[in-house]
Amino acid sequence: MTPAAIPKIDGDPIVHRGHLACPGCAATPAYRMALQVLGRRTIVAAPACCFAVIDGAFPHSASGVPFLHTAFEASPAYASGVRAALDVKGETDTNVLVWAGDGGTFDIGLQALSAAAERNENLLYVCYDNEAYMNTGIQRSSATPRGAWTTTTPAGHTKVEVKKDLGEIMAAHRIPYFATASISHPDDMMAKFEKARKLRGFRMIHYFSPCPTGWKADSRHMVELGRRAVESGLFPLYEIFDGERLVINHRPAWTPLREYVSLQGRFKHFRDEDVAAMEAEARAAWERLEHRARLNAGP
Amino acid sequence: MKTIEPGTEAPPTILTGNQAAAWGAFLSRVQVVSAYPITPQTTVIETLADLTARADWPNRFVNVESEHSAMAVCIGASYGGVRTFTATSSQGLALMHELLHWAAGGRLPVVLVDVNRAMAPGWSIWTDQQDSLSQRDTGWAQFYCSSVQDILDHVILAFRMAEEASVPVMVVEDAFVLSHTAEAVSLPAPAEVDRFLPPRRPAFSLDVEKPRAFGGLLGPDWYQEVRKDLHESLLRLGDAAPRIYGEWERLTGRSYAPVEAWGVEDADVVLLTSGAVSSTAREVVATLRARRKRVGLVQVRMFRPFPGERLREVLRGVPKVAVLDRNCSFGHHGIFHQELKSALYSMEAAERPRIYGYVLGLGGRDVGPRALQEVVRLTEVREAPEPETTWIGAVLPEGPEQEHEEGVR
Amino acid sequence: MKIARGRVQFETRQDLPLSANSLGATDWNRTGSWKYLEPFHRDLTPPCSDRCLADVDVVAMMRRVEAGRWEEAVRGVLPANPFPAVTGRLCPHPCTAPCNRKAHGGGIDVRAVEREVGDWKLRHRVRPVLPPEILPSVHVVGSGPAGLAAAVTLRTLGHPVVVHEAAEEAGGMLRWSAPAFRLPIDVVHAEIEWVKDLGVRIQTSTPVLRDDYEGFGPAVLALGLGRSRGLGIPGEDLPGVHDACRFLADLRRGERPDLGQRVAVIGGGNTALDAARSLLRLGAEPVVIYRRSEREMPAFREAVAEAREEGIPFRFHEVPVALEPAKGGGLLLTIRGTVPGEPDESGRPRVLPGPGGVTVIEVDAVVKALGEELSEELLPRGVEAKGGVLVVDDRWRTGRPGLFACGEAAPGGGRSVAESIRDGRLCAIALHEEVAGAPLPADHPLRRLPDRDPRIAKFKDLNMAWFAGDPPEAPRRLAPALRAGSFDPVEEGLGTDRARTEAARCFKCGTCTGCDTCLVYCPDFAIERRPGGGYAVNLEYCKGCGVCVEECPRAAVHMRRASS
Repeated sequence: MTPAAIPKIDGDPIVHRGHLACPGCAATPAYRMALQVLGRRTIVAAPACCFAVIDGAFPHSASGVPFLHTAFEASPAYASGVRAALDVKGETDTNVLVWAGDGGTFDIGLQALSAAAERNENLLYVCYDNEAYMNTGIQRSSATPRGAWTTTTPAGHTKVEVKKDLGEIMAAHRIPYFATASISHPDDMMAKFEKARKLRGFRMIHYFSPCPTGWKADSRHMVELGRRAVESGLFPLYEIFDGERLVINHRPAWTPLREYVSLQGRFKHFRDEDVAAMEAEARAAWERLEHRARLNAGP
Repeated sequence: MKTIEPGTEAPPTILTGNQAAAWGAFLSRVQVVSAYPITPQTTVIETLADLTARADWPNRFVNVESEHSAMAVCIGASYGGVRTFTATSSQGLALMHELLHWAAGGRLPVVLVDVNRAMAPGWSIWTDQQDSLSQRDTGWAQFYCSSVQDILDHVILAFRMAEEASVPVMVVEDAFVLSHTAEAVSLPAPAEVDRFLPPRRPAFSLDVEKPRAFGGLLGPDWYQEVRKDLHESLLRLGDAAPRIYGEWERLTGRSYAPVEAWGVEDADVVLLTSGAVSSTAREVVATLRARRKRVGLVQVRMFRPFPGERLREVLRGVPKVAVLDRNCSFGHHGIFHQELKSALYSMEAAERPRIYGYVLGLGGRDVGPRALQEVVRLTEVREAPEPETTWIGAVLPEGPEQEHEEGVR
Repeated sequence: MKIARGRVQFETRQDLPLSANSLGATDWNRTGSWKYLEPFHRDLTPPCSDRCLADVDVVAMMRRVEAGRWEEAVRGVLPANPFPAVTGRLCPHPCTAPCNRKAHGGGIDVRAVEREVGDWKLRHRVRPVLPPEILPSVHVVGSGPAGLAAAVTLRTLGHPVVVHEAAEEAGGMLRWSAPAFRLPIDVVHAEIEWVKDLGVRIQTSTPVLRDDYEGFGPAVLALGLGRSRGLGIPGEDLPGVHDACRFLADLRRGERPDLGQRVAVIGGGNTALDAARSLLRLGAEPVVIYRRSEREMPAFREAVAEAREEGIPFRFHEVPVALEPAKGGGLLLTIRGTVPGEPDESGRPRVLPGPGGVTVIEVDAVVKALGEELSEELLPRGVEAKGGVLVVDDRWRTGRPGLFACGEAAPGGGRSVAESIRDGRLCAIALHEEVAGAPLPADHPLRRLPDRDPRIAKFKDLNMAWFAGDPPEAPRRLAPALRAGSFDPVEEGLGTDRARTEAARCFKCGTCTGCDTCLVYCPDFAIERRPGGGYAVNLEYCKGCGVCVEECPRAAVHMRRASS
């Protein structure tokens, strides 16, 4: 296994200190990295999600760049409007970044997302996926993994549905760039932000964002959770160009999924067969990815 | 494609209400338009797409997947500091509902044309005011037009008022009656419009040189003050409206007022109307006055901010006012009816008119001279208003109460 | 509106912005108050640096080599060890025994990297910063590793130094004892030239007699032992019985002594193995006879292993009891089995006669390698020896005022070149401090006191996610079958590129390398670079999540109860 590397990072972040993220939040270091790559000529649009709180309450903001709070379901449309205004004003070099949680992406915002993607709006959309409605207190979303406990899928009635495959959804829109990223692989993530920055049109990064608070995990394990998700094959790192060409960026070490599950209270009830089922799903998803990657390579 | 510099081509002189709305936005040099089609609004955006495609200033027309996103795009673009416009109707406006709050709370001068259409179910594409009046409390200014020329002028006026007061403005026209009816229209010269409506100078915007967060968490310490400010801005817009109308009149010779009145001074009965019905009502009033009936008319053009003070002045000492509502606040009254009652409640009893409420013309049912004459007649004959709203224009007669399979009617 | 401590405050309702947009940043919000644990950066002691015989900060060397900062690497090593080209070839490298890398791809070859550092020094003639010679002049008697290290140290402290050497060339055991396949003579010559180049005067063929000390001011006695121990058996003086030291010195002088075909080498130390392996290279068939077991051999394990792979036979638990001439010109060596008895004062089992009889083997020569003893007749007045070891106090002082002692004859001497070098340095520092009347400042490079927690960084403390399990860059070694007949070095150098790769493999256990892992991951941006290197935790914002501690690849960040 090739270990990840630590990317170069500015000691003085664009994002300010004093923000309101929980201890061990994985979304804030990614936000810092994204803004470092995109620079100060960036406007952020964020729906209702943890960042609606993290950025700080009126009259203060942590972002260091313009930050537009949007209706929950509409950030891609808001951002399209911002993009349109910038283009009309000739500010075509200013980046528009949508920074949205999984609820605003997989669920309530999917319609506006699909439309903005279909229009190939010149936006970078980052979904920081913490696999439930964390800001409202850990309710199930369609990004919640099968079997996980949330406050709306309590013990004995944990989620039975499989997590939506965002990559396939977005690939079907034939957007120029889709990539997954994990906090455990920050060099890969920064490279993807950079790649996305250089492209035009609708670009999306699906960032796996471990949430110690919502996953009932120790805050110090934030990165380790991401690592175990990637190395167990549960969250593969890949890119899709133009909805067609799929490139796998990292081959998992296939560490036992039990190691990932065991760090989290939300899987406390998992029996061996639950882990095995999750492992089988991850394997099957991986095989689909590999199949797609092979298709690109041609016969 | 040929570029139209407004004024360089012989402007059309016959327009439908929807085309007039589009021309109003075009003459306002709108920069970002976003819309989603819904009958009967479609010709607004079709015309505007065509016009803006040929405009010689940078603009974008964003075709979205819903009215919800149309308003969201307008909000985003308006935060970006540019002039934005959309049009919708009925279900579309209802779908926008949440975002109407966002636009108003964000203090964004978005202009929206709503083609009044009844709400489903069942499906109706015909006019009534239920859609726009359901948005009464979103913080938007609302103007109800009664002619095609009104619509054209009011879109331009709406941008001017919206940008001056930093509030969004809704311009309302009746489905088909106005939207698809062609009338002779006087198009203002573009240079005049430019003088009346200079390029937008936003009070605030998303600016990378001055990074700020918009719409962040507003705690109990601040929320009420911020909302009070919105409220007061709307009130100030009402105060400013006569001045702005005056400017427009000096420019175009066309005069408007938030409240317009005819023959009120000596009237026994005054009809209070809004929207296209006002035009019919004017004819009816003229006809009845020719028959020496002392009937007057008050047309409420500006519904939000509500012109209560002006209405108290106009209606002081009038014996009876008949309010025509093409809408109903179910379980209570027609909305103009209740609004007027509330506005006049503070008058001295001796000066305060008796107020008669009539609901009519829902779902596009025709409101012709006969219906209005019936309203006048009922108001004349009734010494005091009925406790309940009177519904006008029934097609079927009332029968005895009966049990239905589906349940109790 | 006013801003108090970065916090926006409104005084009237009209202060509120129209769109309720933000007017300030969040920095006023000291989120540090949320935590009950707080992280701090503190280097632990790397196991290698802890074990280094010469006090070299191994990890610091590895960092510089990894970065290709060779000159800096040399300058970093020199204060502790002026002769890395020597130790890079001869050191028994106990530093590698506890190497945490062993559990993840393979241990680091520290010696091979050090050798490249040493060769760089010689190639580029890297000299330490030399102060003017304004302090009292010092005489150093003996030019072995301890003497030379003392001389260099004293010179770098500002003393003029004169080294006296009885032999015709300087270097002591480096020059006369180490065989070429372990330490090429060119390296020795280059090191001596380097020492001279620092301004150290070396007088060779100059034995220092008792009276000569009277004219010395402060001096360092860095003597070798000089006299070989005898077998103490009949026939010891017969022709064909040789002394290992003399044999090795003859080789070093460039001779190819012909001792005969079958040679018994008696002894179990490094000298015995050097002699046996040299004999093999001369075409002889040596056999090593040692009275104890392999485990008790004083020779370095590595030397024993190399001798074995070269095919040299060992006879353990056997001791010579008699020698007599054989018919035909050889020698008949009578040997007898031994058994281990109670441990002696050195902790090794005593050698007791075995129950069996004797064996007689016929050889062409016998090489005695039983160790050496102090020649007390050369000692200056006032210097005492006890049990064959010079008497010195804990500050390296002999009984004679102004005379300090280190090296083979001093306590702890003769174990390894690296330790001799360390002793020479420490002895020199002690002398300097006495002459100067003040201790060296604590931050003096010669002191080598890196600011570290004495706790050793263990494998379990490290975060393996950040390290590839790649195998070591092993130095190329001469195939055993090719070693007979050749005095070429057994081990080749790595070369600078591979040395860098190997240095990059090093975990740098327990030490902050400025890798930014903590900085990148801190969700609260509370980790800040310090101007001089390293990091500071901004406790005003740190929420105490512990990610920096968990993710630090090298266990250089730790957690403690929050201070406030």
